[in-house]
Amino acid sequence: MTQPIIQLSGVDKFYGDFQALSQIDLDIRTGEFFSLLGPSGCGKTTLLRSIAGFETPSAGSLHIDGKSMDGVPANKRPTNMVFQSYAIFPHMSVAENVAYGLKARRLPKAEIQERVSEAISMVGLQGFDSRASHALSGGQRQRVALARALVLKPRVLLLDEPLSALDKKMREQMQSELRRLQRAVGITFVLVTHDQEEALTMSDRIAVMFDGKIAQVATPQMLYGKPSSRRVGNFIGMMNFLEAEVRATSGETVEVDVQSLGRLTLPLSQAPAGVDGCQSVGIRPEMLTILAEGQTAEREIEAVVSEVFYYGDMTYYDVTLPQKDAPVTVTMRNTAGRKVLAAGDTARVGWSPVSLLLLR
Amino acid sequence: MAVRNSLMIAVTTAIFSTLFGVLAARASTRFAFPARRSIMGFIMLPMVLPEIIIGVSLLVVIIQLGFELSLFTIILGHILICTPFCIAILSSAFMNLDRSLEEASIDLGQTRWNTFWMVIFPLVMPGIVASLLIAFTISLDEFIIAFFLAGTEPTLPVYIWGQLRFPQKLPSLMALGTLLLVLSISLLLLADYFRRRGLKKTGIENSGGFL
Repeated sequence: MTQPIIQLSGVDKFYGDFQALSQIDLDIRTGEFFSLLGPSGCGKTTLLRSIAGFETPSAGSLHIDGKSMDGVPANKRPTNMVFQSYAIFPHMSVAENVAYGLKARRLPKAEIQERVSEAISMVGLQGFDSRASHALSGGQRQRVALARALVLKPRVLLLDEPLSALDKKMREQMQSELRRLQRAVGITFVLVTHDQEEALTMSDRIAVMFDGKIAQVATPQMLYGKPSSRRVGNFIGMMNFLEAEVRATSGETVEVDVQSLGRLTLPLSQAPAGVDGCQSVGIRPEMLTILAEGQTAEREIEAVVSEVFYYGDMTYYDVTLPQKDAPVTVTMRNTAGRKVLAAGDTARVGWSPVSLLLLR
Repeated sequence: MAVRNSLMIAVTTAIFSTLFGVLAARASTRFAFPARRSIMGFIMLPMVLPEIIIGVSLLVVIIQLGFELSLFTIILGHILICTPFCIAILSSAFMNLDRSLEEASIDLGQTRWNTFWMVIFPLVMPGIVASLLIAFTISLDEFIIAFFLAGTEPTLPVYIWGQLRFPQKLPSLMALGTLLLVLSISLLLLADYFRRRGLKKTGIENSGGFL
């Protein structure tokens, strides 16, 4: 494993009585695309701004590239930021915006010119050099902001919800473009977002934050497949929860009574370390199947369809299981010949113990 | 004579009021400090107080302090009444400024001092010009305070008022008054033009305005 480029340990941040960050320990590896994901007000932006140097942590230490950032102002840090509003200087042209940081470093004119045109073409804005920045579209502003930061070749690029102001199509296009750009320049990207889909598709690793604390740090697949808590599972994608009670643990397995499903023996790999306090099992909607006539599954349960949401490619069913008030969601791909059920129909729901996850 | 006095007073007043306005507007829109509201309210007070009260009280204070009445005392009085107007104009210019522009500049490696001159100043420049012009106009037209605080050297409005006692001078005074009126109106128009240009530069829709 490469040496971490950003190391945070025991970082706290208070605004008066309000604790925005609490005991943040985090290592971000060199060259990775890292995302801070969480609902608004969870402290992710505060954390990013602390790394950039716009906020001073109340306690704890922050190292970038092995050097302590205590008392190092934002303009002396090896980080650059893409702001949520892009913060393009409105009185300067595209090229002047991109050259701004290089001029602050008093580089020779020829080098500035060369690096500026290189950066402008890297983000695909060739020919826009002398365009006034208030005459740019949202996507173009975003590109200028990227070029302006990347031209300085920072060790870390910080992105504060960079895609939230774009429309859906543009956002998807910029997602893949950001990914491509990150691979091309090899700079560590730290992205703040509240959009779980964005985090999953772009990141190497994701830190999920709630209430100023980090809940889980994992790869997108681990995060989706094995959330560390009910709250994480619910935030990343959809998840159904059933009440559960741990009966016994023995060596490699744990025995649980699960609402509607009965007594089950699950391997410990499907439970968090130390099972005490686990009160529910989670299952993803796509891990449940509405069985067609004649189709069988490893386990089956009778259910009543209570709501049907037809999306074209997919149908989302809310089904009511015996001994459970709140319906569970089942998502089914609409393949050829598959009948779409109606509310009130009875259905056989197929499931498998391997897709259950014991959660705290 | 009176014209020269008036111009000198107006220029000096415009420069100093705008300078104070920039400092106050910047401080009140960017930083939180104790009793900010009451301090700003106190500075803005001359805008609503009757000028005759300001004029009389200033006269009393200045004489108590033992100062001679001169052009300088008129300038002091004019700065007092012009600064609130400058603050009102400049506050909106500073408030329209996106804070992340400053942060972006610092993030890109620029110092705070250079950030002010390279990013903030150019963007509030139209506001500063508007503020200069309005302070100039107010000072040029102001009569009551100048009347109380003038020593031996009158300003143009005070001079006009003095000459009104001689009926045979009425036509030339009328002409002078018309000139003053035209000059004031064109300066105000110019000021509003700069204010609008500033809004356009920062990409904000023009809302309201006094013209």
